Amino acid sequence: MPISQPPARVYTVSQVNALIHELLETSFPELWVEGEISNCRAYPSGHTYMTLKDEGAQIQAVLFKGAAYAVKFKPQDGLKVLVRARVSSYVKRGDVQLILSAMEPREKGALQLAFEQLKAKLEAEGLFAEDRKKPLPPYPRRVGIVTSSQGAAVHDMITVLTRRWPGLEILVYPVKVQGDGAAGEIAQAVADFNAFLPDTDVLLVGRGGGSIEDLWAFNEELVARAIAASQIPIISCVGHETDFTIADFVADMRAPTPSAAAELAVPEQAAVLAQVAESRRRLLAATQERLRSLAERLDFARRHPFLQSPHRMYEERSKRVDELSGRLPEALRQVLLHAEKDLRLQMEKLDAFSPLKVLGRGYAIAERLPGREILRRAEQVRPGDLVRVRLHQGEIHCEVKDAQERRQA
Amino acid sequence: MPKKEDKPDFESSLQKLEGIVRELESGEKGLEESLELFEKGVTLAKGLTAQLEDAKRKVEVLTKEGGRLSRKPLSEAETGQ
Repeated sequence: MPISQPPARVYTVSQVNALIHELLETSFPELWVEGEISNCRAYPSGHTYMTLKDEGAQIQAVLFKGAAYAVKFKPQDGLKVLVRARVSSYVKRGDVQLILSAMEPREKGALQLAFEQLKAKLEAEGLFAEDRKKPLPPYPRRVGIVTSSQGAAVHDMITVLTRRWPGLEILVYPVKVQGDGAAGEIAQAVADFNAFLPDTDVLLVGRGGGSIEDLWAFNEELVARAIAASQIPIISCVGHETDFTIADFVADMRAPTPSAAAELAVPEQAAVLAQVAESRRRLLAATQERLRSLAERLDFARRHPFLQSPHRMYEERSKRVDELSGRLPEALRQVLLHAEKDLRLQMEKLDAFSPLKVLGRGYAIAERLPGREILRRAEQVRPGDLVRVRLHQGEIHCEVKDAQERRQA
Repeated sequence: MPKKEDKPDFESSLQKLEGIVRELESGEKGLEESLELFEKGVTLAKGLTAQLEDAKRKVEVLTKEGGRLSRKPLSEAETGQ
């Protein structure tokens, strides 16, 4: 359809998009929006693009790097989220989009979700596998501690370590255990121990109790990777009994508290001293017993008749030789007798298999005449046929009167 | 880092001692060998006990400066206790 009147004003596409953009940016307050993430793409730039949708509609959304930093979990397709957003548009295309400034999962806490995501990822990589766990040395000489220099944890660890195993060398590497940069410091400390003090026997990495936010550094991937890469065995101890962190899963051993970690790290000196004393007692007892038994053998040998009167030994032996020589001819005769009997038995057995022997036991061989066919079945003959029966001695000629096959059972 | 070699390893000394005790208890060794083992065992036990009893605790704090770790003794005030 032709345009009937010339237009009063003509806009370029850029102008329209700019107008839309301005209108959107100025006419909406910041909104809280609920929706499900789909088509989520994270770029190396740090920006994450996604679609937010519900049953009836969808809208583009973007989480820029600056805001993404504050979101601990990873936005994923299918995740229901609550976002804070301003409504805007992408000027180049005129698409309406939400620019997100905050995001939290709808069905569980953000930290809980982040924890689950990282745990699943590292578990899939095999970082929690039992066969990765290094054994703890039974008698460490040098123990490293990575924790805050403030607070009860470091004090508890040093107290328990030195009480149980006084000769220990303890190296404390103070780090921030919460807040910005804490994860980096913890990871660096673990790496430094491995780089500069690789003959440290065991590392205790942890902190005292706190909220999930306080303990968060121990749920960061950075810390998990540093612990996994450590050649020095690591005991983790974060918070209280019930707190489980990613660090606990990666560590070679998890202790419920810092004090418990110290107890796991070193044996109790008193127990080891007792063990040494016990070895010493057994050493003495065994040596005494050995000496006693050697002395007894010596005594026994000394009192033996041969030693008392050595010529008896010769007499004994000579008597024995005489006795054995006397028994020799008879023994030989017995052997020959036995062999002869054996031979006779074998020959009798052989004889029993001769066919003539079979006739001797009352069996007979029947042949049909005139063919001399050996009879095995009644149906080989008919009434009137002539049969020769060979016996052990002599033979009989017969005429068949009747022949019936007896069914064999 | 030859630190681990500069004094006999506690664990291997303890294992040696236990091995000697077992050998002696088996009662299979001759007089001379038994006495030799006894002497070795007593020396080991003495050394182990001394290692445990003479040991002094040594607690140091690490600080990183210019890409290197330096140590200094821990003063109680620093642990915040």
